[in-house]
Amino acid sequence: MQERCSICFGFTDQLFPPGTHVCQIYSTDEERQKSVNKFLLAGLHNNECSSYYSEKADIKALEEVLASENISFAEVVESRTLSLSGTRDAYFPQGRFDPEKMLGQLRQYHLDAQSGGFANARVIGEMSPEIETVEGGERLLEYESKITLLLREHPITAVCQYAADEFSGALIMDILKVHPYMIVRGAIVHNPFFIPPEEFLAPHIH
Amino acid sequence: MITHLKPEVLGQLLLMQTLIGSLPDEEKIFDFACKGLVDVPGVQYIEWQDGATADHGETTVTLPIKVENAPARQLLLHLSDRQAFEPYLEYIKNFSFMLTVLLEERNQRRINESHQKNLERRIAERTRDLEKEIAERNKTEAALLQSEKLFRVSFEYAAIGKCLTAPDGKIIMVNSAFARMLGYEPAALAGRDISELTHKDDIALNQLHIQALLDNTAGTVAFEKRYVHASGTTVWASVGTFLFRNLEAAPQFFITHINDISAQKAADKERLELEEQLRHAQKMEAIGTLAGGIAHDFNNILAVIIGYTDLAAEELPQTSEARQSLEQVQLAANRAKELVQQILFFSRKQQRKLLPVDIRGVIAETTKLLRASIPATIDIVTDLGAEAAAIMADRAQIEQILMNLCTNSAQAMEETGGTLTVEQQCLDLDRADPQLDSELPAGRYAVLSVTDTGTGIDEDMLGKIFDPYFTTKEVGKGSGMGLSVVIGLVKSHNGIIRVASRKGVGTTFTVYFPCIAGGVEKPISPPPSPIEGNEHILVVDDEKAIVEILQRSLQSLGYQVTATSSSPQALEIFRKNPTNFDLVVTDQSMPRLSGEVLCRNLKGIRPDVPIIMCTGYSTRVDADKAASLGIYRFLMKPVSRIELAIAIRQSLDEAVTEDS
Repeated sequence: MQERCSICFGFTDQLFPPGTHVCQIYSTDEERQKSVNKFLLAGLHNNECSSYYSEKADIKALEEVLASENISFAEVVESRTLSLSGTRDAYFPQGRFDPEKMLGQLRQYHLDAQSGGFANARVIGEMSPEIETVEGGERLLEYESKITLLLREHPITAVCQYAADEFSGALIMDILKVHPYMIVRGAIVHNPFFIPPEEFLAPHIH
Repeated sequence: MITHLKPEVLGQLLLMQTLIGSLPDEEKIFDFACKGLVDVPGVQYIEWQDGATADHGETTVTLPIKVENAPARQLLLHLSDRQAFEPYLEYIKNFSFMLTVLLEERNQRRINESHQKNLERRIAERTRDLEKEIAERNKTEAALLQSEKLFRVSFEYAAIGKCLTAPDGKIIMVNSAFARMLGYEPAALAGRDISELTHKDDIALNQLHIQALLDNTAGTVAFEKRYVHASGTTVWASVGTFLFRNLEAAPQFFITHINDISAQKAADKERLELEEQLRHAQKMEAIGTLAGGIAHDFNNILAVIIGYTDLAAEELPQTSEARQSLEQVQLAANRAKELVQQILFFSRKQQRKLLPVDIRGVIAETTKLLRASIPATIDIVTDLGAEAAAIMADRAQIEQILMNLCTNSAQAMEETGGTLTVEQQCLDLDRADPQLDSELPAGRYAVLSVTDTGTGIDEDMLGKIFDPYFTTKEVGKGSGMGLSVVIGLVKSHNGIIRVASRKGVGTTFTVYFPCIAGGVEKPISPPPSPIEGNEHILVVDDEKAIVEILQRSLQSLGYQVTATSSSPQALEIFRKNPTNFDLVVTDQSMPRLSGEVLCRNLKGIRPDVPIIMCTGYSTRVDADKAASLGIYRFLMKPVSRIELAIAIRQSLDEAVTEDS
C-alpha cells in the first residue's frame, strides 16, 4: 500500500492514512453523534470533502459543534464541502440495495473531491437495520468488503456505524470480519476478526 | 510439547471481551460469542443453551455461565481437534468468566433497576398517597374550618337559644338569642354556673337529666324547665341537651338548645282555664237541664199542693185552726216555689230581668232565708240603711250575690262560730274620695257589705279568690265557683267588689252598685177587681190532679168549665164548637200535643180566642214566645187560685175590649 499523508479522525489523536475503513459498534446515540461531530469537524478542518449518511442525524448538535469552531454549517453545506443524506436515500433508494451502484457513487465522490480541490474525502454513515429486509440487503458484507478494496484506489476515509441493539450478535460479528479497523472505547484498533477482501470475497469473485 | 498460541486469536478474544459490553441483550451476546469463538483453533462449532446440562463428552467443552450463583446458560464448544484447542482453553474460560461477570453485572443492574423502579414506584405511590393524604387532610381541615364557621354562624345567629356548658356546669358560651331570652349580654353569662340561671324548683330536674347524659344512660335529653330572667321573672323553656364527648369518650361539653315557651305556657294555661270553664259550662248546662226537669215536675206537684190547699182553706172559716194549718202549708209551698226559682237561677235557666229594685228589701228577704241554712253558732246581724237604695237589678241575681257571699263567710266561721254582719248604706263618692279609682268612678252607690269574724284570708291569696275553682276549702266542701259567680253578677250590674281581710280577724266583702235616679216606684196595686165570672172556660193539663183543681177552683168562682187531661181531645172539643168557649187555660208540657202547638191550632180555628198558658218549666216557651203566639197570660206554676182568677178575669175583660 502506498504511504500517504496521515489524517485525523477527530475522536482520537491517532493518525491514519486516508482510505482507512473503520467500523463503529455503538451502544448509544450520544456515542454515535459524538463520533460523527468530531469526525466531520476534523475533516472540515483538514479541507476534506465530507459526507454524512444517517436517519438519526442531530443537525442542530452538529451546527452547534461547527459554530463553536467558527465554521458555518450553511456555508459548508452550500459549498458541498459537507453533504448530508438519509441512510435510506443513500443506500437503498427505491427500496433496493445495489452495492455496485453505491461503490460507483463512492468512486465518483472521491474523484469529485479530488477535482474539487479537497485535500481528501471522508464519509461517515450509519447503517439502518432495514438492510436486513430490503432487496439486495444480503450483499451488505460483500459490499463492505468491496469498499475495503475500493478505498485502496480511492482513499476515502470511511466510518461505518452499526447500532449494537439493532442487529443480531452474529451479524455484528460478521460485520467485524469485513472491517480492517474498529473503534474500541474511543480508540481505533486493528480488527483481529478482519478477513481480507481477497479471502472474504473469494466466493463472490466471478 | 510447546504449543504456540496465535496472537490474532488472542486478539479476537480480547476484542470480543471488549465488544460484548456494547451488545444490549444476552441473546445477541451469545450469538456474537458463538460466532467469534468459532475461529479458535480446534473448535468445530459452538452453541449455547439455557441452564446446565450433563456431560457432553470429551469432544465438547462446556462453559457454564452462572448468574446469581446458579447456572443460567452454558456455552458448548464442540471440538474437532482437542489438542489444537487445549492451549486456548484457559483464555476461553477467562472469556466465559468475563461473560459471567458481564451478565451478573447486568443482572445486578436489572435487579438494581428493578429495585430502583420498585423503589421509585413505591416512592411515587407513597408520594401520591401522601399527596392524597395531604389533600384529604387539607380538605378535612377546610371542611373542619367550614364546619366550625357554620357552627359558629348557626350557633350565634340561631333564632333559638344555644348554650355550651362545661361538664362542671360552668357556661362556656351562649348565643345572643339565649342571652336576650334571659335579659343579659352574652359575655355576662360566660363562666357562670347554669344553676344560677335555673329556677330553684327545676335545679334538681336539670341535674337529673345532666347526670343521665354523664352516665350515658341517655344520648340526648329533652325536657321543659324554668330559667330566671335578669328581671327576676320566670322564663319557661323547652330544652334539648346533648353531651359532646372526645375520642376517648370523656365528656367535653354540653350543647343545649333552648326554646322560649313562656308564651306557649301562658296560652296553655289560658287554654286549660278555658277548657275548665267549658267543662264547667257543660256541667252547669247539665245541671240546668236536670234542674229544669225537676222544676217542671216539682212545680206540678206544688201546683197540686197549693191548689188543693187553697180549695180546702176556702171551705174553712177564717178562725178555724185547720185553716191556719193550711195557711202554714201554703207558706211552706210558696217557700218551695221560691226554692225552685233559686235552682233555676243557679243553673242560669231563669231569665235575667233588670228592673229598678230597692236592694234593702232583697237583703231583708234573703237574710231570712239564709238563717235556715247557716249554723246556729253564727249570729246574723243585719244593718240596712234608712235611705232607699234603688238600683237596676235582677232581684234574683242580687239574692244570689248575697247568698253566695254569706255562705262563703259562714264557711269561714264554720268551726269557731262568729258573727255574720250584712250591712247596706248609700254613699255619694265625690272625686276626692280615697275609695275612687279607675274601676270606681265618682257617683252614688248602694253599698252592700258582708263581714265575718272568721279565719281571714292570706294576703297572697286575696288576688286569687275570685278565680274560678279557687278554693281553700276541703274537697267536697266548696266548688270554688261561689265568689266567681259573685264577681260575674256584680259586673253584670255595673258594680265592683272589694275585699279586705286580716288573718285571724275576719274578712269583709264590699259591693258597690250604682244607684239610679228617682228611686223605685212602688207598684200601684190595681183596684180590687171582681175575680168571679160565668164564662165558659176550656181547661187542659196532662196532670189529672191539676185538671181537677183548676176545674173546682174555676167552678167555685162561677165559671163554666170543660176540662180534659188530653190536649188532642181539647183541640177536638174546641174544633167542634169554637164559639162555645170564652177562654182556654192550657199547660205547655203535654204529651202528643204541646201547649204551644195546641195554641197555634186553636188560633188557627179561632184567632181571637183568649188563651192562658201555665207551665212548670219549659225551654221551648217563655213569656216573649207566648206573647208572639197571641197568648194573653203566661203563668209559671204553681199558680195560686187568686193569681189564676185574676189572670182569667183580666184576659176575658181584655178580649171583650178588643172585640168592641
